[in-house]
Amino acid sequence: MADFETPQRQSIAGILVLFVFSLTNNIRHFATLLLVVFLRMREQPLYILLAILGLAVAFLVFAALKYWFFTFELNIQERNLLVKDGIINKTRTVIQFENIQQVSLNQSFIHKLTAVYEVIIDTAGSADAEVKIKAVSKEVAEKLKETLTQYVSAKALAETSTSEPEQQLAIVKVSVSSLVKASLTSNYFKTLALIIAFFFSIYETIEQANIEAISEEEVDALSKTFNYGMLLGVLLLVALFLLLVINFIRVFVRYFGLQIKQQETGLEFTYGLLSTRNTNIRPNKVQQLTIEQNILQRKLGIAVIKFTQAGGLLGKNGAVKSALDFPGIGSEEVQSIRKFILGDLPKAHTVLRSNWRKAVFSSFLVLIVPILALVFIPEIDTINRVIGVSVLMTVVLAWNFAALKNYRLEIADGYLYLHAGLWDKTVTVLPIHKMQSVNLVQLAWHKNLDLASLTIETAGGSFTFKLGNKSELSKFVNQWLFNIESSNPKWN
Amino acid sequence: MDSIDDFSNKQLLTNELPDFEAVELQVLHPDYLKVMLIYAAIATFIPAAAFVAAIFLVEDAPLLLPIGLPILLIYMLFVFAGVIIGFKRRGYAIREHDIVYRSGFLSIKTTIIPFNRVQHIALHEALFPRMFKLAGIQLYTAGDESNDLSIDGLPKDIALRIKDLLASKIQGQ
Repeated sequence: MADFETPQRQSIAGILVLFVFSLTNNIRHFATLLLVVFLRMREQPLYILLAILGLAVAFLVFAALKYWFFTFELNIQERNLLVKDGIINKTRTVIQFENIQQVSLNQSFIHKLTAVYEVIIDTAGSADAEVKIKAVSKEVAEKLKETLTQYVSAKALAETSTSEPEQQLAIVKVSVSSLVKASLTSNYFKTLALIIAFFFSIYETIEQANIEAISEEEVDALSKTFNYGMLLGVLLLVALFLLLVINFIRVFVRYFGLQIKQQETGLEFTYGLLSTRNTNIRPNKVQQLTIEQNILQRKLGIAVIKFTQAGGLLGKNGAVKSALDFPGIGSEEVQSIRKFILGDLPKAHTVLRSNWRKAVFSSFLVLIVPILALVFIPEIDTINRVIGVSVLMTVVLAWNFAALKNYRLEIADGYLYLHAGLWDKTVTVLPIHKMQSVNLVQLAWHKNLDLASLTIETAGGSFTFKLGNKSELSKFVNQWLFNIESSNPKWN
Repeated sequence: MDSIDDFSNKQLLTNELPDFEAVELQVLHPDYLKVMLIYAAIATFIPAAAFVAAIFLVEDAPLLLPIGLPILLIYMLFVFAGVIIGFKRRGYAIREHDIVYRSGFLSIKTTIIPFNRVQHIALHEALFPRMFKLAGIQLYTAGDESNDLSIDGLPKDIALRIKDLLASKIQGQ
């Protein structure tokens, strides 16, 4: 095992992992068939049980064969990793050390049960850019990662010798209490929307059932005993409770034990309760970095940090995008992570703000449907209609104008900082040299107002600033183009 | 990671930089207007046919004609005006280091792609443009596809020349 120079099999426990994987995959494929079988269970239980048993044995044999024929070996002399796979259709994958981008270890729930790890080897290049060694023991996984990373990091360091940050990022461990704080304070709007949708669908089903089952007199009697105000109150409380619980579980399960380690090639994020993920973020792959913090989180001193990365390299339709976000990170750690990824950020020399029309337009988009509903639903009386429309308009307009105050594009040498949001405040940092293309969009009637929206495309998604001063924006676009065209800085 | 030193802008007066707004845009081939009018005709024919069918088939709809007809006419006017005015606004310019393209009717979009961000170029001939010996070129970057550049309505020889020119520019980097 010591140096992997002879063909290695996976850990024997790998059979179980492969078995479970092929089982879950096939259950997905044969879901409907299985349902039929289960419904027929009563008629011929013995045969069906036997059939299921037989199938399970077949899968187990298949898994064992897969295990037997899967080997990996390092060929130090020729500097490559050779992976052999397949029972009948055999594949040999050769990965040159030079092409390895990163090596990461994963542990899903079944891996945890059997105490093994999955090793994922990412390479630069084509679509099938990774090799997975599905189940090896901890020692083998770590040794393999270490051995391979030696070659990767040697090459990566040679590549990026210019600006490897000197400051050391100590291991950051996000404590359980930070995670609890993060889970209780994040994603209110998203979860609320989900819950509202959920309630509506329940309401609809109940209503349909009502129509069939309950006569009108009964409904009348019901509504007399029920106080609608109280009902609404209870519903709100339930919604709030659900919101907190759902958020709590989601954040907790996903990010439990979040730990950030600095490595030679980047930052390594390890996290997850049921399945442990291990993600490596290389600074030059990051296209945009967003720090998000709402008012509660600011009081608690935690924030969410998001990266958008260029995924695989130069696929046919451009690079694959991937975004990662990590909640519950202390303010100081956020600063050091940002510094590690982007280096020292220069101060902005110009601040561009958005025209008030942006607030009106975003309000319009939010208001149009509810206001039409209020105006055209015949059951509502006039007073409620007027009150409803004016309250809605006041709240939404006030919200959007307050958000507009925070909305701004700060321009520094080589970087853009976009500030947005009112409750969830975000700052998105875009290094200008990540730009792929630039767009200015102007509405015909904004010509005399000299307004336009700016969109910069990166390999990790768009970056948009709406309704700014067009002359100013054009001036900066010229400058950014000059920067990119004169020195051709690398974007990944 | 590229450091900021790699590309910091030496104190250059910004007015001295080449201005993308100042370039003279090349217009598309006039035949392409015909192609776009064909597209517009297809786009308006279907709702118009549906409307006519509705008039004959639906009985007892007194509001159909007085409300439906103006909406249909406004829609048709909008589509054709969009094509004609939009065609005049469309144009491209190839500069030394990048390509500029402008299009749009009510919302006018100017896209600029530096050559050193282009990943590959494709030439395509759709059915109607091909009848007029027109072709289009498409530039792919690593960014979102919706904002990748596609210039249609070029004479085929010019499209080929642009494609070769851009290919050589990309190779030269």
